[in-house]
Amino acid sequence: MSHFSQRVIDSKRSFRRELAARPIGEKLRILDKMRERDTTIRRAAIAFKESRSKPR
Amino acid sequence: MSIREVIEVLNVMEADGVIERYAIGGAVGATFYLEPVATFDADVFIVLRPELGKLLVTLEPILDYLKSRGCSMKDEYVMIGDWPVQFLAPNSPLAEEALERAIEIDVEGESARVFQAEHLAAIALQTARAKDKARLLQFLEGGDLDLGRFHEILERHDLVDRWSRFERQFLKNTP
Repeated sequence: MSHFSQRVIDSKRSFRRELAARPIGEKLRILDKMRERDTTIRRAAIAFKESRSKPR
Repeated sequence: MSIREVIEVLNVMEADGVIERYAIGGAVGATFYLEPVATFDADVFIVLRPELGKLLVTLEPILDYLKSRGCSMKDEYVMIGDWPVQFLAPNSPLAEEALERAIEIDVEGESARVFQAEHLAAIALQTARAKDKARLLQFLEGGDLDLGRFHEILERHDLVDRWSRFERQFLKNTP
């Protein structure tokens, strides 16, 4: 593994640890936002799939 | 509605006697110990007993209670505000133990009952989908797991062989 890849992995690991250590109330608010974002992406993906399946 | 408000609803349900005991598992439960874990729904484990004079266990009283408070059903979920919540009866002795020994964690003044980290990790090992294995690795990497307690759970629930395979696959460099 290159030095650069290792640095990226270490930095992601350190960010995850920092997120894990945040107060639970804050983590649950992040969870709410992540779910909203996921739902938006999911809706967009479904709309995209439907538009592709329609005959042109 | 936020997940904290969902927790408030669960506490009111318990206080009203609609559910006997609940505990949060799954990705929302894991978020209490790890970095926030992306999820679409919330898994809430409950003690389910048959109603008086009936043999079959049913979620009906819970669903009726929530519907009367404006919640709707969507497939197998109850929509509590924006959150799809799945009420689950423990499906294994491990999940039963996790529910029995779940702990209370304060969320900004609201108490949430959550599976212990060691139980969540053991359930991830038992369930063993790709995302469960990833979660177990997160628990191990996070270092918050009480490994002594974790191994006791593995022994009690016949998961030691599975753990050895997991260790060989993910934690040891030699095949």
